[in-house]
Amino acid sequence: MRKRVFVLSLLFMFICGSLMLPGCGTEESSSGDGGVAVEEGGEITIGALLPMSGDLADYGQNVQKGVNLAVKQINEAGGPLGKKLKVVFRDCQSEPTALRDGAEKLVNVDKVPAIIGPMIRLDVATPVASANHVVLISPSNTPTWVTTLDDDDYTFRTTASDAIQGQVLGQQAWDCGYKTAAILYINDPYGGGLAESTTVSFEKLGGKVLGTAAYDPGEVAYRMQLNELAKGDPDVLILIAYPESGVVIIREALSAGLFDQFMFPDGMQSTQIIEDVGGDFLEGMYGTGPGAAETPSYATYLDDYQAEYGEKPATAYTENAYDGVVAIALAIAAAGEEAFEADPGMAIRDNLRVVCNPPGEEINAGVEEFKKAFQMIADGTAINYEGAAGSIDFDEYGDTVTPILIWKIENGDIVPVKSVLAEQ
Amino acid sequence: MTDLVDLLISGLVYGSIITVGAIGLTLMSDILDFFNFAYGDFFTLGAFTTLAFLSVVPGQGTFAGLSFGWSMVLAVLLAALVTVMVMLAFDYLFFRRLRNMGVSSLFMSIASLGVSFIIRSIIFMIWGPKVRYYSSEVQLSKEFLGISIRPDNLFILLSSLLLVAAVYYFLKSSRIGKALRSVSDNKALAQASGMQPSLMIMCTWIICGILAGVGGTLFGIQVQLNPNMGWNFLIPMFVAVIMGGIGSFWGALIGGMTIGITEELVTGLIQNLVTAMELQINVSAYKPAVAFIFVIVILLLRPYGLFGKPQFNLKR
Repeated sequence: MRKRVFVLSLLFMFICGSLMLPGCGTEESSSGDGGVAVEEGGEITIGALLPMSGDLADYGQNVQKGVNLAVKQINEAGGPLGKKLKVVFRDCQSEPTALRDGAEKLVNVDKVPAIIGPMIRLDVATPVASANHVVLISPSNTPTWVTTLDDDDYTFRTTASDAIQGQVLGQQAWDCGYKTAAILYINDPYGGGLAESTTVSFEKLGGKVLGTAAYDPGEVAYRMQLNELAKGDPDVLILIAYPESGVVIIREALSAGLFDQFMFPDGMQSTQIIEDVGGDFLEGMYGTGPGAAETPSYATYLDDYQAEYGEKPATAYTENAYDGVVAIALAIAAAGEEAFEADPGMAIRDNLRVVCNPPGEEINAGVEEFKKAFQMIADGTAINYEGAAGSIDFDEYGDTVTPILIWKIENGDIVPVKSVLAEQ
Repeated sequence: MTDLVDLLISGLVYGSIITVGAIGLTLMSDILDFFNFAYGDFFTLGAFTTLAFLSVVPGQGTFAGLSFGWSMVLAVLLAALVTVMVMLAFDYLFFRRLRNMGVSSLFMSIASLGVSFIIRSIIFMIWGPKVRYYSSEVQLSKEFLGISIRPDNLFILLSSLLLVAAVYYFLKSSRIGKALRSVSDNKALAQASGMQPSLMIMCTWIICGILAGVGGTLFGIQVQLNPNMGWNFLIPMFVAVIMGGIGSFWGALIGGMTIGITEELVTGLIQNLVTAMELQINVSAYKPAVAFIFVIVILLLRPYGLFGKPQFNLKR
């Protein structure tokens, strides 16, 4: 009898395991036989660690499209060193535990030399990747502390630091005519850092932040924070949040009549919030996010994206992820044979600045440009990739200065207003 | 002062949703004799089936200032029915077999953890990971007797009160209810006096299914529908059960309300105090911690819960 129970329980655990849909499953198969990812046989596999479920699922699923577009175009252009680029996707569920697990699987099981992602919490993924000489390029991890991570130079990002976004957010709040503000931020490193830089920028211009409060995602009610923040009747609530809890907060603030003016950072730059809040309560509100300046590179990217998926990118950061993939592919091409030897990760790391930073011939997004780039690398000519998200020039910390977009909600849609290139 | 009233209402609403869930959970833990970790996902299932029925039943539109119409009542009843059916199906296919094998409570609890993953995965497959809402309209607060409250909140308070009262009446007055209570008091004696265990178990599942179906829907009205909502809500529900004492109706009621009100009101009071002392601390972000410290203090004073039977948490 005991034995039967044991067998049953094993069987059960197995079924549960295989049924766990949001689990850390591989979404697209890798090279198949598992061996070394950088193979001589015509394929190069890199990894992507994105939130396909959880709070950031909306972002993850759209960013995946950006990654897939880049891979497709790189391969159409012939691929780095004539080999086919492949991506293994792993879901990090918007959660640190799953994120670490996913990073470990990419490093130890899939044995990839470079990873696109994670979207948040580079601090969790960096120790796993850098110790194993794997390059991480985050499309969206904006906090200021990413700059100083102890990463042996294996961590890069294709988006600007929050020091810059906060500066623009505070500036925009002031430009909108708000004299006083309240800030409600998600209680994590992203929220705290951005709240601080926004406050500094807004107060420097003469504004006054009357109150700052934090929230824990997934709460049933946020009445306490909202009541606290409404004291002194500030002109605007700057809501540094992600859509899932952000919408609940906006609805509560509106229904209690505490706030009717809001401003949002990149975390809320999703059409989902307009749809879920309903009505036209958010009409005319402003926000900031990563935003490409109107460069030829970005125009090509938008056209190609639209041609591929029949819609424009629904969330931010798709172009940043695209640039990450392209940078890796170009770096592999520049590394040449080194990208297949003992330490492909280090070879990619050492060549990222070679292909992305000046001096060199400027290379934009798009298949034709990539063809040209591969040819020039083969010829030994220096190139400088000008990405869709910005000029993607990595500094000594692996940071880039990309422009910040100011957007506005108009007729139930997120409309870009202008791109600002701030100084660090 | 109005501040505190706002927080009290917010806490009452939260507490009443916990209570609806906790009463089901406490009955189940007592009569079925294991901690059902799948209960939270039945909660989610109830909320999502209500969403599914909402678009097909008659009575659309809005009613009496609520953000939904009569269709909600019909949809909730159907959803509760579905939740009960699914629960009974899982019991028949799964828990019944384990019970007949005579496995321990611990094993049953672990098995229920597996069931919870199955249900959640099914919900993910059908509805996807996206967050949903019953109504896309923002409801503005209205004045009732000088208190500003959302009609939806009033609906949640009233319907949970009604449901809890109905369950109380059932347990107190009906034949089956009395039998259930006697099983809870002394299983061996109840069985010896001719109570059918299988019938008692079925009744428990039915009551718990209704509570889960309605509770999940109330949570969905107040917050949002999210495939992980029930799983995350399991913690406050379990804490209410343990704080009140396993198997105690009044314990679950008072435990649930205490957690709800403490999280909102007491944390608010502490925040006021901290602000008055000019300290730069955001107590608000640590609401659950404040409530749980309170629970720990209560359990230190009464390890078997407020209304629990002393033998429960001690060695049996």
